[in-house]
Amino acid sequence: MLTLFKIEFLKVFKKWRTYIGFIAVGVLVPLVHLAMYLEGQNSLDFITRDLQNSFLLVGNLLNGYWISYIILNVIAVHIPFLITLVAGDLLAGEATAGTYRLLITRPISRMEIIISKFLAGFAYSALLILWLAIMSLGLGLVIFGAGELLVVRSELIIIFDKTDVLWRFLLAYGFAILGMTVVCSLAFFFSSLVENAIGPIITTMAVIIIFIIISAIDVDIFRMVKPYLFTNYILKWRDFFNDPLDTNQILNSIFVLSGHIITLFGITAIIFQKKDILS
Amino acid sequence: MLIRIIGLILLLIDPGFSQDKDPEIILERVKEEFKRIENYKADITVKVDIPFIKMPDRRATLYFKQPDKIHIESEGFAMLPKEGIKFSPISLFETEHTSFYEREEKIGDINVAVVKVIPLNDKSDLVLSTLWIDPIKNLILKVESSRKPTGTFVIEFDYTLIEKGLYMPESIEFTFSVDPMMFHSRNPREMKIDENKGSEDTSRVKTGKVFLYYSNYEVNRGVPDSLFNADK
Repeated sequence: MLTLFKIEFLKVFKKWRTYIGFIAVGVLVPLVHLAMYLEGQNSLDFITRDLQNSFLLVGNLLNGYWISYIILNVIAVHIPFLITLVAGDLLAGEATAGTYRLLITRPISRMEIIISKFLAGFAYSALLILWLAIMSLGLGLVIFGAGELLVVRSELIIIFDKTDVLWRFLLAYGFAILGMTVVCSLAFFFSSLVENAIGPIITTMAVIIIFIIISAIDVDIFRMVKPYLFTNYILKWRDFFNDPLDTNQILNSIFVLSGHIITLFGITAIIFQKKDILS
Repeated sequence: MLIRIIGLILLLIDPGFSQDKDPEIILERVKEEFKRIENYKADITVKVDIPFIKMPDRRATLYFKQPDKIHIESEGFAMLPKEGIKFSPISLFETEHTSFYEREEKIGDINVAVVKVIPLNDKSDLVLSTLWIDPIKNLILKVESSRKPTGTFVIEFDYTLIEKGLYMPESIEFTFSVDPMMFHSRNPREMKIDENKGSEDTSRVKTGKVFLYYSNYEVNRGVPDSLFNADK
């Protein structure tokens, strides 16, 4: 099984499209760091302008933690699109390349194939988030150093002590991996239905866009649907930056996302088991 | 009749009576007392109790030099009320103003003189200040002040004896009105995603408090000007 996973993992990383996500993060995040280095203080002054009328603000809020938080806020919404590029190709890519029949004639079960492929997709998703963590948090701390984290919400400002931040980021990145695994599972599911990778990639992107738009429009009918959209839970990594931590809400999100992964993987496994391989 | 006239004469020539009730003399004494502190350094602990802000208690070192130079050093981020930390009787009384003695009152066991100060200069941020002054030690125990545009705030002082006859604040309680709009996010993304808080309280102005606790005073031992130059 481990050998099979290694083979699938290598297959994923032999395709250049796998690196698009890493390149995108590797280019975009340093650009954000550069922009923050040049203009970050102005942004911070703008956010805290009203506070400065009444308070003397002493110390450095422009630090690696704050910038990583901003980056995670901005980029987390777009990471799913990078995940679909690879996950949508995991099964359909075999059909496109005409290697499906060759693959299943090997002395391994279809279940082993599907598990190893899914694990390869999961590993890619996790590595992409890890890469994001290294580029935003790691590089941010090197350039700007550590400090208190300012979290500005609509009616609340939370300032976390710098000793109280790192664990929140680690859990938030862990949660982001879980969220991206749902996207991976969805693309993997679509990938099992067709024989060309473009379809699953576009379909997964379309589903995510539609769900995000529905979540964003604040009308009653969409508000009712919202709890059933997985995109609503993907961004719940932000709950780790609440004080006090709402453990029940976080566990609920983990439960919902895990449920999606299990369900989507289960359906995909059933489809693949029964699939009549003709290519 | 003769007794009344003698009483009136005694009343007029008694310096104690006129000076105790003369607001300008009271304020001048406070100013003179404050001028004895040429400079100081102190460790401060800041505790913030504001409905819309959550932050841990912070520690900082405060440097002061007459007339109004302030420098604050903090290992981490600290948020200090401007009016509380920069409060100075000198700056309060230096603008053209009128004052009147309102009444005598008790704060704890201390008989205090309540004096109102109204600036005569239209350009002054200060609208009205009420001061509760200990006329024996010449210390301000409480200030209620209305300023533009920050609104009304109250500062209450607790003093500690540093050396013979020299009192310094041990704690300051700064109370002010908080407009929730002050803390509304300037980040539309944040406003959109935050689902944790309702909006039913946004129209209500609330009261915020900041507590400053002073310790490890070093008074009149010299503070270099270079510290304050760095802040400019």
